[in-house]
Amino acid sequence: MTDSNDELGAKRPVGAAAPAHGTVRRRKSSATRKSLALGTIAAAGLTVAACDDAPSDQVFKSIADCKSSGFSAFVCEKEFNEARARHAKTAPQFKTSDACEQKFGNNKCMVHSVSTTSGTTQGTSNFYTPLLTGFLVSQALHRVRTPYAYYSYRSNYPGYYSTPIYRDRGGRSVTSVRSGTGASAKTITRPVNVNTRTVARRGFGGRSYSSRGWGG
Amino acid sequence: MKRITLAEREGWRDTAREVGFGFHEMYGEPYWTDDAAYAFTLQQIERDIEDPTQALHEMCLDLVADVIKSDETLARLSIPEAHRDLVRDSWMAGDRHIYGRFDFAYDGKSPAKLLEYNADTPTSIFESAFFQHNWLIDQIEAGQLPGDTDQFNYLQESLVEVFQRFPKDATFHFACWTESSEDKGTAAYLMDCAVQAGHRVQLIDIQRIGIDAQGRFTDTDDRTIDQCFKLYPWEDMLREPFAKHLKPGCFVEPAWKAVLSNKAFLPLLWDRHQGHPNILPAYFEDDPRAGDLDHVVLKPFFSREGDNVTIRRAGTIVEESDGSYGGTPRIVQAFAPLFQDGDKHAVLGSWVVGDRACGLGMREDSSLITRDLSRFVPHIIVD
Repeated sequence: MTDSNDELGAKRPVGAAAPAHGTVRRRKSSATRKSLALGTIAAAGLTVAACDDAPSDQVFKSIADCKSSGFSAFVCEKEFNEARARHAKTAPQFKTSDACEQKFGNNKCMVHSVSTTSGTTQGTSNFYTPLLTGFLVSQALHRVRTPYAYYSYRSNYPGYYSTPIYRDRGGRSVTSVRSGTGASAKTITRPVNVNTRTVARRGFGGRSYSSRGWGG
Repeated sequence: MKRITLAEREGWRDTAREVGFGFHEMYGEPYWTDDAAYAFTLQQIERDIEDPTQALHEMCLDLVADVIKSDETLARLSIPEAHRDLVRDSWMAGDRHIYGRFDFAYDGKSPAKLLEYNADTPTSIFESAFFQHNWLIDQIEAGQLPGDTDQFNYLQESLVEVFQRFPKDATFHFACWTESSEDKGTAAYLMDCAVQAGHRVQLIDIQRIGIDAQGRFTDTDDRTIDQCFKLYPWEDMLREPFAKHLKPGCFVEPAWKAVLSNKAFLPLLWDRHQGHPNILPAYFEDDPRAGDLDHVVLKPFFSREGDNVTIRRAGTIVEESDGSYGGTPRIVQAFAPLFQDGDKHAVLGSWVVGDRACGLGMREDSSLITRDLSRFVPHIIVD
């Protein structure tokens, strides 16, 4: 991700410039003059008795796995197809299968052939990406049971997208993030939310508690 | 500036419950006020609240940049020695922040006076961003307010916009004291904003955060926490067993906010901007200049919700609140009168989201010291 204050010395956190106001009277509230709506998260917050019961985002190897976890068939198919399409666009790419396998393991890579035209010469070039080992589905979609609800959800949350998951040589789940734009765009992978083993809890939250919480 | 009354909306309590605002009442006492509002002119909002908020926020960021260079000043701010590097590194890394709320005394006539900056765990974001917006729409529809009545409130869209700037590959965890319905409701609302911005989110109780053998924070599924919003204060986290595992870039609000979410920065701000119309004279209690002020408010550095605040005039205590911060270091700030209507005293909560002043939330109390039973009142812009 590019950040607007990358230079050493420019220590300003990222922000937005204040809109200038002129003499013309302007609206000081949200552009839409209708009620704000809450999505599934806030509504789900009401019905979830304990946070531990809340279903978390899940990674599935297949549509069948996804369905057997209680998501609707429609959601599983849509999410899988989108993750696969996204995989084709954003998976880390390598020039040789060796380079790819070094990172992702033996037999864990696939070849893609692309036709190229150079002047009057036609040919193909190959690049390699890791195999798609899974796709991640948001817990919010657990409540979505119909195509209509799914499309409503997607249009309410336009920033959401289905995430392809790869497993690297060390067994860690990674996903792909595109950094930068245009010709210099790079795909970087970082391990996210890796599976691990907790050795201790309750290291925060032990200080004196006022019944209203820690508000200020 | 004035306080008006109007009819409450029919069935508003049911609506509140439906949207997760079960905390519209606290301990059986009303909190959300549906049948009153503070009315401002557009000029009052823009000239006296929005612009000063923006300017003060910039001054506060400059202050942080300055303060982190001095170990002595960080010590003066009660930042534990072991974690001063964390605060410093968090700033140097440009750790992103989401929001903060300035509290002002303002009566519509004189410049607004900064009382404090809740830069780490400001409350009432749900009421300010969401519930008071829908109140406005409903009251216009009910004919209680003219059709072109406005409100200083871009909060929800600003929150979604600022969440968009955070990386989307890792889950955005949200940690709070889940036994508090107010904290959980607030977390749910912010999670909703994060989802609208394209994030996957997960709630976790602050006490359930774990660590693995490498000192990485973990959730209840035994997966690492890479990015976590917290409704829990830095001054507590920095003094707890897991503090040694803290690194820049994990928690929001970031560690550098610890410089501002602490009333001790107010004397530092006064020192740098003496005579500024929006800043009150303020000194550390042991500073001899504190004696120059006649009518003052003494506030412990970390006091919340008006705990252990003392108002003193000509050496006599006028009003005093109790709490759990007795005996802790204090600042002395010049007294500024609050807007008053009958027995109601009003404090303005002016929000900054991602460096932009973008909304106002009003609270009122029958006491001069705004406490946890103070009530939230919506506002309108009329002229």
